[in-house]
Amino acid sequence: MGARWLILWVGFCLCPPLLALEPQQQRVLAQIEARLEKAPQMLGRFEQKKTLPQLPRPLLSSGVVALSRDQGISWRVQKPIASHRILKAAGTGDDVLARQIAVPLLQIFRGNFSALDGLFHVSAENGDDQWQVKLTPKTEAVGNVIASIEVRGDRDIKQIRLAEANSAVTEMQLLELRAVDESNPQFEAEFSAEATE
Amino acid sequence: MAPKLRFAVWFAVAAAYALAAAVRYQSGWLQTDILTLAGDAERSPVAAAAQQKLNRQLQGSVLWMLVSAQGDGDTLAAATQALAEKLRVSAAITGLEYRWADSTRFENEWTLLFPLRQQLLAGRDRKLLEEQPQQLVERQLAALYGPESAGLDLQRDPFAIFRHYFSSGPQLDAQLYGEIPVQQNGEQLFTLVQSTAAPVALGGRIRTPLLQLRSELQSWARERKLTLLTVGAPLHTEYAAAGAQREIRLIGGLSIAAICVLSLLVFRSLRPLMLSVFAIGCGIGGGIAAVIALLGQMHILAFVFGTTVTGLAIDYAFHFVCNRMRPVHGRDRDILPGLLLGLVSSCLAFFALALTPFPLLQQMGVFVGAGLIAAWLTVVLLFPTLLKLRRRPLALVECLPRLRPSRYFIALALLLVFGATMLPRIEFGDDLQLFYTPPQFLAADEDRLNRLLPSRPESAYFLVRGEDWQQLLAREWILARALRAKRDSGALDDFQALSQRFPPQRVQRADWQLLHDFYGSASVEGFYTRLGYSAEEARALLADLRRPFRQLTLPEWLEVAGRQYSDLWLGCDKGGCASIVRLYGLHQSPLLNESIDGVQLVDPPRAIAAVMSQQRDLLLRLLPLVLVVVSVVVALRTGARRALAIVGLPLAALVGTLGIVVLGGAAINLFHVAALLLVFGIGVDYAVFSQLSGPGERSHTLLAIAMAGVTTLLGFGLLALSATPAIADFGLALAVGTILTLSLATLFFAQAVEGDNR
Repeated sequence: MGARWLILWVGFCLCPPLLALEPQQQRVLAQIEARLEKAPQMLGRFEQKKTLPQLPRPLLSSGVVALSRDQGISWRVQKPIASHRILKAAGTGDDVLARQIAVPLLQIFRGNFSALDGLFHVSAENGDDQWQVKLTPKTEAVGNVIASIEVRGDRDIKQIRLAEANSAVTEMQLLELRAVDESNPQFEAEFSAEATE
Repeated sequence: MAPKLRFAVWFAVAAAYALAAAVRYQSGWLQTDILTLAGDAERSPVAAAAQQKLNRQLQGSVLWMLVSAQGDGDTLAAATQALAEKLRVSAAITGLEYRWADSTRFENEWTLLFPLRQQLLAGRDRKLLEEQPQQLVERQLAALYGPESAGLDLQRDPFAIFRHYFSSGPQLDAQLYGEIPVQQNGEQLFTLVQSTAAPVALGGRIRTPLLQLRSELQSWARERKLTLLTVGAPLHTEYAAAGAQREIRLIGGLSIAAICVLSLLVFRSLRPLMLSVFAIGCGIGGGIAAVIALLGQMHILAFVFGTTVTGLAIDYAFHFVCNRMRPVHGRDRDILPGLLLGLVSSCLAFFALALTPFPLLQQMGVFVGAGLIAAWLTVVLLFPTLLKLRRRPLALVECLPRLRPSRYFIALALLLVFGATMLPRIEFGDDLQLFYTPPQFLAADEDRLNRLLPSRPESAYFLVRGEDWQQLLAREWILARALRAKRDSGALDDFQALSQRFPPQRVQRADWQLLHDFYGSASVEGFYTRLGYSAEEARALLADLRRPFRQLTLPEWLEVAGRQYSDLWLGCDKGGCASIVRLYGLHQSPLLNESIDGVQLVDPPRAIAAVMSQQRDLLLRLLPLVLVVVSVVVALRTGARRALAIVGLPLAALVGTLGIVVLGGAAINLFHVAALLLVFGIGVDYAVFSQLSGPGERSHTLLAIAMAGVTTLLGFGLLALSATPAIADFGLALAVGTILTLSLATLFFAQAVEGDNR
């Protein structure tokens, strides 16, 4: 599977086709995006559970997440290991798949679901307490990597569930996400050094 | 000599020229690669083959970039599709490539190389394994606990080492809209359409289908709030060809019309002009035949210069024509001594060039020497019979103001002194811009496109040779190591080499050992147990990862390799194997601090400039030799004193021309020097005719000189108006030189009205 993914991914990113959202879905998405707090800088925590089909038990991790409109996403794992990654649309490094999957994730963290219309079928529900957006790939190329992405939230994104085509599932809970000033020392620290891969 | 005998001799000589050429004729006798003029020592067949392969890749290739400033990928992709359709139906375009449809090739390459994953490494991973293998474990743990660890193969490629290897190297960083990759640079999105242009049609009507298509499509793009940028050699070829055609029509048409009118006014007949043109044509034909017979081939530059210099033959023709205009019955012996001395001095000078070991000079020497003989024979053998003119007296010389003889010598001395004072200010300059300066609109497109897409290869590249592909890869690897260091220091943006993707076997073995050791380390076992595998499961997985080394040959890989790599391979022959290493974003040279066996930097523009400089210097140094030969020949006929007076005219004209060109701020190039050679030849003819002119012939001789000078000015001097710097330089130097020569010859007649010069 990895080979096929990479072959389909080498040289380019995911495949947004040319279909547009239906008007009803557009309205719902617009409402959800309006509900979301879209500060240029946000800081919070995360808890993640990753279930890989080859592993006997899920991988649990937690840490600090920082969202920057300009600099991307800082993902600092504090437990069970210490690691730090910064996701950017034009990232560095040799891992094409990991680099390219950052693109839809970045848009999701920014609450910019409309931008993913080219990549995914987007279905959205806007309830009183919570909203939910489900993304399913529109093309085979995307479908070879991602099975679906489900996002829930209210004023902020609360949960992202990324189901990969190889049955791996990553569930991310975003906790205590709040808008911060650009000069917030903790926020600054998250982007002060490039993450190592 | 009886007319029939003259014709017989002429036909016999023409047949001899033709026969000799026919015996030695070979296709491809006219060369266009300027680097062949550098001599064999500096030009290897492999380098020529490499350049031809690169040229083939470039020729016909036109890149269209559609840019959206508003960042709307959907609209841009749709517009790109529409653009491609428009290009597809255009007669100016023969091939198109704009969609992503090459996954089969990647799949084949993956299938071939994946079984070698135990020995293939990306550069960054090799460095990590050599220096900090533990970081590889940490990197992968971070990826696993990160949010985007897509497609991990924990059994066969647990550290994504092969994945990194396979996806390393230059590649598009694009999003795909349908089948169209859309790339981004800052806020701007852009797509690329690679096309092959139909060959530029030369001759006939001036046509610029590609430039017209570009203009129409740019308007179409503007209407959609998009920008269309276009680059490619065919655009420049078409622009240059159209410009040259316009110039030929304008300048050529003007000069031919002016020469015809002049001939009609002066000779009251077109026959002298037709015969003169015929004589020059015979000269050019004779020159070509002699070069083919004696040298086998010639360069187009030697052909152009040679053809031009053979135009000197018009001096003989007009001298003969004017002599026959005299009221007295013309006799050959009145004119033959001057014509013969002019021919012998010029021929010996040019044949002396043929004795040098330099291809351009050899070819020009043989061409012009043999060409002048052919033209001269045409004049003296055919003109007496074919030329019919009404005789009439002339009093041209009598109209000139009478000057003291010293004025002529003062003028010569002044020109010589002026030229000598200018010599220290002389500057030289030869580069490709002499041949062609890109127009602003194409240069602007190229500049903007390069800023958005900075990964276009440089014209310079490394040529690597080896006895076999193993040695070639080993040499490439040494080169790649040096280039990596330069890339890290910022001297180079990037490079592309076969050995980056397919390292030499020694390196593959070393990489295999690195990975073998790594997979046998406790940290890797710990990686698996940390993820929840039992120690036994971990050991089983690791045993499978420590696979034996596998052999794969370069030719086997090349069969499935992508074009970006297979284009670098030049193949093997009896002399060995060769490949190219492409360079991107060259900011500093030299790139190599020390030479590497079998590795050579090829920089075609610089090489061409160097060859032009070399040929210019050679011609400049040989001008004194020409002067000495002419002086000796003339002295043998006229005596030393008169020889000095004769040679003084062309020498003063040449030095004066050089001085004026230098004073005008021009950097002297090969084309100036070729013009100076012609000025010297013209000067010798005018001086010989002037000095050997009898008392009753002076006005007719002056008329012949004036006619020859004015036609030279009209024929070649007008080239000074050309937009091509090389041609303009040639024309300007020739115009200045011809005016000076004409003025000096006129001055000579103004002071030489008394006595017989013969």
